[in-house]
Amino acid sequence: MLLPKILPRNDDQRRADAYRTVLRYEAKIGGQLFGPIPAGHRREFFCLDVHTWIWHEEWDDEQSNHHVVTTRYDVRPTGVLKSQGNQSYQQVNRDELRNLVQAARLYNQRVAAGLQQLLQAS
Amino acid sequence: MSNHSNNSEKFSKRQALVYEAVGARNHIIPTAVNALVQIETAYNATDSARVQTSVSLSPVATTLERPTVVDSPQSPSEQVEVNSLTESVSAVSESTGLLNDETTSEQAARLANIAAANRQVNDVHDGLVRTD
Repeated sequence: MLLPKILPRNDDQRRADAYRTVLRYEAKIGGQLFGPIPAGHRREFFCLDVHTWIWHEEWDDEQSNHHVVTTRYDVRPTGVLKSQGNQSYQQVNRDELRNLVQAARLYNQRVAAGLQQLLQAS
Repeated sequence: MSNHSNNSEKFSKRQALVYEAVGARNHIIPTAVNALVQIETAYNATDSARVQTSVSLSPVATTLERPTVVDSPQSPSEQVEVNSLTESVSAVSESTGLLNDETTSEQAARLANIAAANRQVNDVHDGLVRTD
């Protein structure tokens, strides 16, 4: 690789890269929590930070139009707010909150096991 | 040899950074899950508090002792209830011989008042339950 020699990377950049690698790994595991992913879809679900969960989905429809939907869940002391695309924030209803908590718990279990495998492989 | 040493140093540095990232994530994820669980718990607690409120309000409602609707016209069902109460009081007085006719009618009126008060309390309670 020529680029790293031209732009030498410091420890902070390497650290950020390693963190992103782990996050991408988690997002892939998270995307599989909701059942089989339809052909041509790309689905990711991950914990961005202690207050934020992201659900990202991309697919092409029959007319080859590309669709991207990113849903962001912000956990506040008063409840969970959700924003999708350019839409404003709205309060998550009870059923969706239940599903989100269930997904988050499952994510915690699966990712913990997955990260162990990642460490063993690295 | 030095090239090999360099590569292994790079590898261990990269490995150390991955370990560090995994360590950070192992702290962040359970904290994030816990925050969500707390929100859900608070949500459920709010719901059960709402049920508790309707339940705890009913004993207060039962303290209504003096209904103001005693003189209002009686509906057929109220009449049946009052009659049946009067009959039961009469039956008691006849069997025990303790109550004369005057006492029986006073008793019946009092029982009718209590029945009306109970109905009012039930209506208030139903209203609270329906509202919640």
